[in-house]
Amino acid sequence: MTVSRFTLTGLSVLEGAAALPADDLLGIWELNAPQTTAFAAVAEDAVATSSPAGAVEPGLIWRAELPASRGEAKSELEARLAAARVRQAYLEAAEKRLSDLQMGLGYSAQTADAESALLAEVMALRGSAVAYGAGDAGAISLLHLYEQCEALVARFRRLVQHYARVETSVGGQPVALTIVDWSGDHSVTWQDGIGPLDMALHMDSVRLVLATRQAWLRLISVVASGALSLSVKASVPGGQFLLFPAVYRFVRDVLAELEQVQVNQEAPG
Amino acid sequence: MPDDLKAYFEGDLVFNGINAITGEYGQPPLSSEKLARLVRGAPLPQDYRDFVERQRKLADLAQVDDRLQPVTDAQSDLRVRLEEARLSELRFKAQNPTAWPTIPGAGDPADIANVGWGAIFPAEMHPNVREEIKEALQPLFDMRRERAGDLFHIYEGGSAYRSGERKGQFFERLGVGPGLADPREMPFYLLLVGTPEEIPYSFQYQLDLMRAVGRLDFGSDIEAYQDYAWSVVAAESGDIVLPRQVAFFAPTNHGDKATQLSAQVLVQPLYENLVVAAPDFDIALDHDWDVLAPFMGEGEATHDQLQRLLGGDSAQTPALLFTASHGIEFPPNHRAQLQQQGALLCQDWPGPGSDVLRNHYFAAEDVDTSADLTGMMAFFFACYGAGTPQLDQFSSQAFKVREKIAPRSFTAALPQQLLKQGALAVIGHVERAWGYSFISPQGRGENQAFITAMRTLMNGHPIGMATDSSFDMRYAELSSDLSADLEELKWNPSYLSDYELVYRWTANNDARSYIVIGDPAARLPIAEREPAPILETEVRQEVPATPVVEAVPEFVLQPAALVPVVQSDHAAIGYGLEDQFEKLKASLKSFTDQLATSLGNAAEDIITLDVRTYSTADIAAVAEALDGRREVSATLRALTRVAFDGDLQVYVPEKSDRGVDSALWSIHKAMVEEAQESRANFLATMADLAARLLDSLRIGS
Repeated sequence: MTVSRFTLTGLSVLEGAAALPADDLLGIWELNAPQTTAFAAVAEDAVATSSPAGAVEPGLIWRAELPASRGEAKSELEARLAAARVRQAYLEAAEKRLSDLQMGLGYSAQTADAESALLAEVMALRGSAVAYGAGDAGAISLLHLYEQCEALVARFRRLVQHYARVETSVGGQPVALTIVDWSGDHSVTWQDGIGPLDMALHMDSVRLVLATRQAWLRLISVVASGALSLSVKASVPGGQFLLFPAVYRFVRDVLAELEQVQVNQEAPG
Repeated sequence: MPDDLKAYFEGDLVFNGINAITGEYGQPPLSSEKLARLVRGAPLPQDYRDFVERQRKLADLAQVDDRLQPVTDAQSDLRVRLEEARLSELRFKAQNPTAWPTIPGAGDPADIANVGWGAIFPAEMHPNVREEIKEALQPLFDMRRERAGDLFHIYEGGSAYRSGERKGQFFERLGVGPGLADPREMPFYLLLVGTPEEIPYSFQYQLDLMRAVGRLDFGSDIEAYQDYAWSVVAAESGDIVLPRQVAFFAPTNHGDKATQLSAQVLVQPLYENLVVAAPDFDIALDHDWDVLAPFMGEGEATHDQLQRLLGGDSAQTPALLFTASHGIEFPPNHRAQLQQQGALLCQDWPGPGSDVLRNHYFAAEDVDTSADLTGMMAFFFACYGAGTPQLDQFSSQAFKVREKIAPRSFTAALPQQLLKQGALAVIGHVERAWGYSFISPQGRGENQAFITAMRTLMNGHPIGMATDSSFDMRYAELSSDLSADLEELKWNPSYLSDYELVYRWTANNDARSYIVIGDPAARLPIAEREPAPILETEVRQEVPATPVVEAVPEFVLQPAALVPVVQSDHAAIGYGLEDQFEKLKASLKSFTDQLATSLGNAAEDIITLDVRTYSTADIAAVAEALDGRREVSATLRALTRVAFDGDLQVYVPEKSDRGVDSALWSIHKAMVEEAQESRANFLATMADLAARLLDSLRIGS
């Protein structure tokens, strides 16, 4: 194998999961992708067929499939670990911008796009601006956003409900499997004969999973508290629940915006 | 005792287990002198060689080569310290012969409203399996919760039983004190859910000392859990009423000391005792019982007869069945071991030295598939009748080695099959049953524990109480005495005769290993329903339960504070989003609940942090096993337990064939550091998130 893959399975049976984008909102893990791993590839199928709607939800399996070149594998993991840390910083920035929002001032050309969109949403919800009718593009968009949020929250519920199972393979060969429960107990199983380099790679895979879990929890924390404080500022009836999707979209937009800035800065010339 | 029996008794000691392959005693007969020497801790080299040779032959039959289990120094030290704590509790119980070991003021221990009810799951159980089992057992849980109220508890997640934990460690982690059971700390009735690999027998024995404990172990047969739950619910709701009938089954195999003794010194006197409703110094029976004459010996205690008693003929199936016989045993890893070990050897077997044929013993698959056993209970006095530990407890104590006698610890299949077909519970013996334990050194029958257990059951009390006031008390006393005797013998070798020492040792082992398979609060559904005890009525009056809530009109429960939510609904309805709005709100509520549960579990779990390192030749197979919820095969190479105060306990195999792998050890240490750091961060984030979400929900409601 020459290309890395970072996949997370166990979420596809969620109702409404289709509403969510097929990434992890942090750009690190590919969700519910077909399995080509050296580990047992039956997990997702087995889960899907043996867990009818309403039945027990399966656990989460995080798989890092790394190239045979240990150097490339190490670089890839380090890049993603760095990306996870950057996303955490972006989330801090998004939270700051949320708290800096000034209600009552309206929005102007000087206001950033994300803030403008959010303020427009808030105004609409206060009933002082546009009113969407059934079938309007705005209402449909909002409906879609609600669906996304609901699926997102269900995903997070799964996150704190189940163990994380982390599997690492290098060059198509399985290296190790670690189970981390929500209280932090670790149980790691190594393939016999694995060398120190591959051990270190698996350690990085586990670190990456933990950093991702941490970032996800931070994401929902920012959205929930942002929606609450904004509902107080804007006196929106229904407050924190009604604004939750709008704030989620704001945070998502800020992450994308900051990501773009980063890309532009790194672009040659 | 008749002279012929006395002659049996004075010869070599014989145990109640027959090897199905050789037709010989599973444990060769031993003289009192030889066994005493072993108990005193001084086996001769020849004793040891004989023992190992015998085990090797048995193992060879099943082509087993992985036999001896190394024990680390750290584990040995830990065991010594825990043994001291265990003995302290045993002495306490022996010196405080209260009827049941609950705190004064707890009330009638027969009523779970007073003393509580709980279920303990193993931390090692796959979460999906646990959830499926919980769902299957829901009717039982609901019924117990309704009665026990706040004294109902499910031990899972952070409060689950952790692999390797002794009772003292488990209690300490959960903040439960030793001594008399305080149901506010932990319920008196405790149901262990899982295999003896996940929750070992040793833990069950110790937990049973001060509480009423049972076990359910249907493996991955979720339907069996569900069927069992409904059987208990049906029995206690009055849907099932059984006639008050008790039967006895006792083979006396030709030339076999063990069954001659168990029939004539145990079963016959037990029967004679129970036909008297209120004998002096025994528990009086509340109602008349039809106590059937024992099916004993030639032409009576046959395989066919046992099948009739166990549902093959509903007219002959009693509410309560007592059997005393040999249990069948197999060499470790024999293909029939897991399914047939502990099966009951019937009169059909000609006797020691004869081949054991399949139709000589009664196993799980012999239970008539159409048999309806709903409501019945059974008591099997037989080797391995309730289960088999992986390691030989006899060799552990006598030879100081831990020999594998099974590929893993397991629950006997016959009791499980009875429970699957409606039986509420079975009392049985783990490991070898020691026929001499019901006979005193003076040759007098000592059946009191059996009599107490049977009479308690016949009065409709929970089965956990039946064993607690009989075998558990007996174990506490015997173990405490034996410990003092062994200490004294170090200094004064003539303190006890060989014969007395052997008696005390076997009796202690025997009393310890009786367990309940099934819900310990289950009781025989017999005859008409009795009026509730006064105490029950008082409790019902004290608890502002269902009737009060039902009496309140629904609108009264709608507080004015709901008004803002109604407004918000209106706003949402304006966009045609009311369904989505409600879904999102419910989803957030569910998430917050889960978060709170996980945090609560984490708070209970925070005392220790475990990091385990395994290795395997085929990791893909491990992943597959996890997917298929099958047993995982990997070798534990290192375990670190970090206590809350920073203390470290580290376990590393000392004599592994591959030694300590330095690379593995380095990565293990790195993983421990990583785990410590990540847990701190993760819990802090979860706590912060929970606080924020709770704020949102509180304001929203």
